[in-house]
Amino acid sequence: MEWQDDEFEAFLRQFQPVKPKALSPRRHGLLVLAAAAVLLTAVALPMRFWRAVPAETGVDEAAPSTLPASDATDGKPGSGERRGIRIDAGRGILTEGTTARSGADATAANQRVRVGEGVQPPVRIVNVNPVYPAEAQAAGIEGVVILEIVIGEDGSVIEEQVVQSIPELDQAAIDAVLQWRYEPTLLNGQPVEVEMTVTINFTLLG
Amino acid sequence: MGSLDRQEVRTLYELHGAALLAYAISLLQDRAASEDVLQQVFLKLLGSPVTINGQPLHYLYRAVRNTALNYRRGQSRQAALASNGHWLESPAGLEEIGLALQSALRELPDEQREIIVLRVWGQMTFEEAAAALGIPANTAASRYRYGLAKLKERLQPLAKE
Repeated sequence: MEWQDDEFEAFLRQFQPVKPKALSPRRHGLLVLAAAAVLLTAVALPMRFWRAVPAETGVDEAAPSTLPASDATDGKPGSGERRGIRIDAGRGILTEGTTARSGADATAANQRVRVGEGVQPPVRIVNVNPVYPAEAQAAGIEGVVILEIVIGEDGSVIEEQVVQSIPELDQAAIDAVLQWRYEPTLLNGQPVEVEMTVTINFTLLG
Repeated sequence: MGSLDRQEVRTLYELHGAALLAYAISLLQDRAASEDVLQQVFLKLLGSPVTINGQPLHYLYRAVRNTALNYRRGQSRQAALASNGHWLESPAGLEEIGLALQSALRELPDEQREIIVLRVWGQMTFEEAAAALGIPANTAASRYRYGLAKLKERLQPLAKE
């Protein structure tokens, strides 16, 4: 007996497409090109370099900031007053009052640990500085955006949540953090997910 | 239609990611590259607002298609050799037919394969699939029937065993 079209479609649908991996930046393939494009854009801008200043928020490793100098009025070089911009992308501070778990508390069934007692912040091996939104620059908006992130077993940032928001700057912070990559954290030889807090300090200089 | 917020993008990924991945694999025959294509499309949406005219799902299929074809143009030498296109999970006992199905799909012309993926695994009507591909609905329907007939011809003997 011949299959009718609808019967055959139902038969085909028994074969389910494989699930895609979690949505997160990865280090290979097309995404590397995208990340490279971001970096090239950043270094192609006129740049000034500033002394790294520890942030007041307790950033433990203020990244030596590369500082795109940007026009405060229209975003184009060569006209208007010029300002320096510092974006400190720090990492690894604990938010007070969180339910941090130490590495010793983690079990095989609990594959996520939190940076804190007994768990060192993982080493960031790919850093992408946030792009300071031109509108925020023009409006003189600066401050600290704090994100809770989860680093996957492969070292990519797989979840993020804003815990201290500056609406005009949140997206820029998220976009950068999602491109960061860390060395995988091992617990008893097995890679685990890591929760931590990161701060992004947007500062207009000059 | 406007732009999507981040939660909407993530929801679309959860609901339609598997079908979109299947669609990308049907175009590229390469799962790893297709995963990259899918990520690129969604990360672009997460990274900056994109104005979408029409249904977001149609936009996503078009975006996956365009990105996949761009990728394929850049990888033309490798594309012909790629064979790691495993993208369908077979029910127990139907593994052999699953392999034959993927093989049969690979042998279809691109335009027939993509409409079958949109209709069967993307659960689209002919009108929706046609809108996503930018072709007339009648064309979509005829491509589908040609492709489906070839699949039936190939699989029916196996299913009767």
